[in-house]
Amino acid sequence: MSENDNKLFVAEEEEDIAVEGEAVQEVEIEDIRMIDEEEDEIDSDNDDDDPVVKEIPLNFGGKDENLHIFQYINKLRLVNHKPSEHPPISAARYKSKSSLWEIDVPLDSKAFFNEDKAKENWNGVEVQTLKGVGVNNICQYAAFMEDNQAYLVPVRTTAQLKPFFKYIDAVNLKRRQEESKLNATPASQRAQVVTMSVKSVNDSSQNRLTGSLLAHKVADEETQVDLNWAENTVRQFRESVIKESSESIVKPIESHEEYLNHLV
Amino acid sequence: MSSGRLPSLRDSAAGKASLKFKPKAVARRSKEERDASALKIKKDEDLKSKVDQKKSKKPMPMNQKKRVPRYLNNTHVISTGPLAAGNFVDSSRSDMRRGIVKVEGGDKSLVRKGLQSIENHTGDSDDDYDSDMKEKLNIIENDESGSNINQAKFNMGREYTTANFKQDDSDAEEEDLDMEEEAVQRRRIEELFPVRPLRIRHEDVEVVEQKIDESITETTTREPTPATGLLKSEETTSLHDVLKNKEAELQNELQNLHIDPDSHAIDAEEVKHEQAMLIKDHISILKKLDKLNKKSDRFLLFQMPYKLPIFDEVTTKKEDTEVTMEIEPTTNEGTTIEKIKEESSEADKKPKKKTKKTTKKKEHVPQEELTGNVGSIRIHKSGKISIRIGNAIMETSKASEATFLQDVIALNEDPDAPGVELLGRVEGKVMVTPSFDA
Repeated sequence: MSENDNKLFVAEEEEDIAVEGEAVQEVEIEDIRMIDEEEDEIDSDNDDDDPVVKEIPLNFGGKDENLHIFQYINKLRLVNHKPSEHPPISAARYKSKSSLWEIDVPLDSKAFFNEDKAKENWNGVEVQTLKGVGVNNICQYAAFMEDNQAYLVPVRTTAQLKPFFKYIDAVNLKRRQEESKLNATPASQRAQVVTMSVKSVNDSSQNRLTGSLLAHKVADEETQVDLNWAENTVRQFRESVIKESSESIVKPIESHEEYLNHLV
Repeated sequence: MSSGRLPSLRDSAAGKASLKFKPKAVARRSKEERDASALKIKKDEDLKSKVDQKKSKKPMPMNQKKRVPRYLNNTHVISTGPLAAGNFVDSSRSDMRRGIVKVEGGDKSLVRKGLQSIENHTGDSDDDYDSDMKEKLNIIENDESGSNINQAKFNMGREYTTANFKQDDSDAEEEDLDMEEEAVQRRRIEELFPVRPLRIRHEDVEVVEQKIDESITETTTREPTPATGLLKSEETTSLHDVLKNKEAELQNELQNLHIDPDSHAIDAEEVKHEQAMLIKDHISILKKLDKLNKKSDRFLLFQMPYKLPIFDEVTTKKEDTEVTMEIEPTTNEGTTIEKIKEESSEADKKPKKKTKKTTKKKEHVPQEELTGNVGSIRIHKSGKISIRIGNAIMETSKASEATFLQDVIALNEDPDAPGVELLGRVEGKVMVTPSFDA
């Protein structure tokens, strides 16, 4: 095993040397010695009782990709030990500034679904709307494997998608509007009084619109972008990442200890 | 006092003597009777026969044998009917006295089928419920109530835990590509009935309790508790020596166990167990990586440390500096690299090296733009997985598994044709932490 190891490392050294060519020895030798030392350290790490048996090359790539994770809170990953079916998705909407996702999943009307009730009470609802906010996720990578090499692509945000009962809200709003129309006089008078008091607070705290209130306001005012939902594009994605990754070569400049120090 | 206030209170105080509802005397059946009418399952019989054997060995007074646990006093173990252990009877196919549970909405054939299919598939979902057992059960049912073979029942006793969802699906996944109509329907049924309730069989509890009773029963004696003999300590050795010896022993034992001084576990077994679990996790990660190799639409999430080792951009071997220059023209740092590269491509390789040394700080690749081979995932002989990024060694661990579905999607915010691409689903998550052991 250790022989195998050494071969691997030797190959790497050779690569480095090949890259640097027949450069002037002073610098080169220094470099190589450094690498040697480092690799000795690495060797001593594993060789004492647990040697490395196999290595899978790890590549980074896809820095221009805009990856996100969707978490379908109400869908099981496995059903009876088999991966569950992916829900069909009929529409997707996105607000980029507030990273607000909305996804429509057609409802299954075959089982446990009362179509008459849906038509009567809920304006004939046909889709379940899932909604979620993308949360920034630093240093999260999505990995895929190709030819026994692992490729890591950075993930921007993770969004938890939860059912959002749009149709109930719509019906409630409608009912409230109708009610306010019906008994307009006393309610509106009271409402006026309330608006007065709110105004007085508002004057002093124009700038206090922060946090979640601000986020709500931004989200409400932002226009939604309708997105096309595409599937089966993984191939192209993988190919582009692999190509990009193969074109760039990087070289580490820190030893393990230096890295640990730089962490703190 | 007798103003008539709070009459109910007074009544209740006085009314103790005459209860309004006479408790109905429940006719208790003997244990034998109950056993006869209870569902006969092989496992039970085995257990019981064992118990019986034990009993026959131990001479026991008769009244003790018939003892009933206190919690079952005045209760009736329901062995038939809708609330009975383990039975669900589709009312449309049996006589009404068997139960009051009906399947609502007979026209929803899928629901009906679901309930039926649960029975049909007991063979593959229940391990302690094999086919000859079923036959036996049917025969018993025949004896009891005549003609109800092929009843739709399902085993409510099957226990489901979250582990059922977390289990590795690596072996079971291959055949899900071409599904027939029937398979599709079965799948839908599985989705509609994912979990069945947990049930405790009172017969089992009874047997266990009896066993416990038998094991701990001890006859009381009037003799005083025997005094423990005083430990005869060797007074010749001083306390200090004893302590020293013990310390040395402890050190020896610790060395024998190879316990990591950082780990806070005290018990050797615990340490071993923990290490075994870690290895198991690593093996499962490896399995998942293997699966990613086979399936293109599967991803594994890696949570990296917030700072990665610093890397330098190196000109490619094939002297195609133009290509790399094209990749990096946007950022400020990219432009500096460009300049350096231009210089370096013009000049010999020796000055290039020197410029590199001098302008190192400007040349680091920002972490977000790191592209190319950075290291490797290393599989150790023990099954442990570590990751090398640059020269830094990282440790891996498996993150807790999610029970819900997760997708990886790519967003295209191009204003002309905005879109989302569904790339695939997430298989699991790996946490990567810098190793501090080295």
